[in-house]
Amino acid sequence: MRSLKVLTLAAAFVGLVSTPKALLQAVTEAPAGFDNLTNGHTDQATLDANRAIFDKREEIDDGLGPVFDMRGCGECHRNPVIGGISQVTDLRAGHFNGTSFIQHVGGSLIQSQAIDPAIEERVLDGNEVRAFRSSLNTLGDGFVEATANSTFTTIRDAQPAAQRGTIILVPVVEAGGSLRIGRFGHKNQHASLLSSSGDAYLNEMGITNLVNGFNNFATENTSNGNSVARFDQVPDPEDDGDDVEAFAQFMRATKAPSRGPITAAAIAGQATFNSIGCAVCHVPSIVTAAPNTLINGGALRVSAALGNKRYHPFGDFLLHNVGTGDGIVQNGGQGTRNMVRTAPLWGVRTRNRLMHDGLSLTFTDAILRHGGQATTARNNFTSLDSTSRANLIAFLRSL
Amino acid sequence: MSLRRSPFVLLAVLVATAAVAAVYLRRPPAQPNVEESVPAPLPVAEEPGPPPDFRPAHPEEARAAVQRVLGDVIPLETVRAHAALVGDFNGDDSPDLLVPLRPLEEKLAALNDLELANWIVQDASVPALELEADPSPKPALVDKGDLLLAILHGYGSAGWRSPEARQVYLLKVARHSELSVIKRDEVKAQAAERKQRWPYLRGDLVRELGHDRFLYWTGGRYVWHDPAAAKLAQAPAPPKEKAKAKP
Repeated sequence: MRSLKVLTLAAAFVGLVSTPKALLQAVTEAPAGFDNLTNGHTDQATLDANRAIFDKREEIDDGLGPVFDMRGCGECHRNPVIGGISQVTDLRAGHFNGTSFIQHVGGSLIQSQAIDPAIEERVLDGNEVRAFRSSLNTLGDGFVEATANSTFTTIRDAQPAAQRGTIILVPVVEAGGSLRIGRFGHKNQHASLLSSSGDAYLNEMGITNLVNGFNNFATENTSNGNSVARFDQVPDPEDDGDDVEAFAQFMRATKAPSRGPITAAAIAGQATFNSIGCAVCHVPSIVTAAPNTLINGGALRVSAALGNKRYHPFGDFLLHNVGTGDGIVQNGGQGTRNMVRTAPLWGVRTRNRLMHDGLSLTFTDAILRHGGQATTARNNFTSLDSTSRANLIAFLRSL
Repeated sequence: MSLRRSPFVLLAVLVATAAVAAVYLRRPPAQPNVEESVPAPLPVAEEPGPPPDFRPAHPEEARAAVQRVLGDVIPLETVRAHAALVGDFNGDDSPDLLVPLRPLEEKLAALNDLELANWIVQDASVPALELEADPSPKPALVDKGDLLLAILHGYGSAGWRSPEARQVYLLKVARHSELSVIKRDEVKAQAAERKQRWPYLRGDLVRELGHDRFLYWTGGRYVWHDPAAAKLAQAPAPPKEKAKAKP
């Protein structure tokens, strides 16, 4: 009998050492906190250096503009710490011809500033579709990027048909346009933080750049379709790729937004949140891919700090029509015109203007605005007694 | 030879195990997992359902719908059900209901309970994009004597008659004369013919009889649009007067 035990133990040991190392790493909690500390993806000094680049105010000599929204990433992503949210909004515009959205000449993003009054962009006549979009959180986005495509398809497939999210595939610029499930931006227009950084550097700050050597964002914007070349003193690309790499590395190394005090009411509220159907789309937990997994079309390997981590976004990173769509189309085709990405609710207590357009000023208001695919969950909310509602709001205030 | 009686066999097993482990640990790292690619999703297309029910609202139906979504905060005697209108005001192809009502003073506290209300109060007189650009917006509240337009958004083809239809907006409108619904497509066609500029019309419009202004859904709220005022605002500014010398 004893021999049998020894043999069993030996077999187990052989099995153990034969298992790929990545699978042996247990899933652990993703670090969370608004504390400016690294999640381990880079060391602290590197994170601090990258944060400084992320927060740097660009000047005209750096290539700022000629048309732009803000001077640095940190101007829109800074509450309560650099990388967080803000109430700064983008303006997008275009025209709906009855069947399709046609973006504004020069692109749907209407830059709000310019280095010369002669090139200030404005919405031109005939572009009646107009929408403000609030600035998104980027803290913890490394975990979102490190989430495998298959995880999102699993989430989608588990959703009831009436609430099922929509997946779009978008090009990963640094992988030469290889397609991956979009997960960043209000319209899921990006799948990688490097692509997203390059896009934002060009379109929000007017800094032309290379992304891993690719020149997708190396051509200057226009002002309402007119060239701004005579105002631009810096040859393109204005960033050879170092800055966008620093932005991406900064976001990858940030901790996820942390929870506030979790009271008894918040605990009860989360149970209600789950039971009335909010959690179908505001998914509480997601696990990243194993360390060493090649993602982003092979352009990035999931680091040990980001792999096999459970994070709590309270979002599914899928597109839905909840009756509040803005009519804008980006990467997802005309069918996504009135869809928006489920707002991840992590860190939502740092916002006082809610929803993608910032038009909801209270949590209740935001919930009541949900329609379309969220109708059932909203109706369940309206049927709650006052205690359950208060608990649910307490839960949201703890996120 | 029995295993029980042979410690050498046990030792051999352990040595073999250790050897396997040593070989494993010294071998080059395994190839990384590669994220699965995903087949291109099918184009998003909404399945056609039964035709939407745009029948006019019978006053009793309208009162019942108001009671369903607003309960006791709006006593039925304050509901002007005979003036109810039906249209697709938010442009989701589901019939919506509009009902004027004037709340009672003793219900104002309940109506303005921003945390527990099941309705959204909006001031339709704030122009589109003004609230969005306001750095410190304040929630709209119902005041004593306000006339409200309740708009109940429909659900599915049954629209506002569906028990699932419970999303309701209470619009402060200050005043209004008799209202009528104008279909979005009709307005668009007229505007195109006259080369008029209009806001993005997602749904049907509510127009005051005898006035040009109309109520429309921006995607986030209802606002009044006055074409005459908009035209005036877009007209070239008059020449500035010369500055007077300071005394």
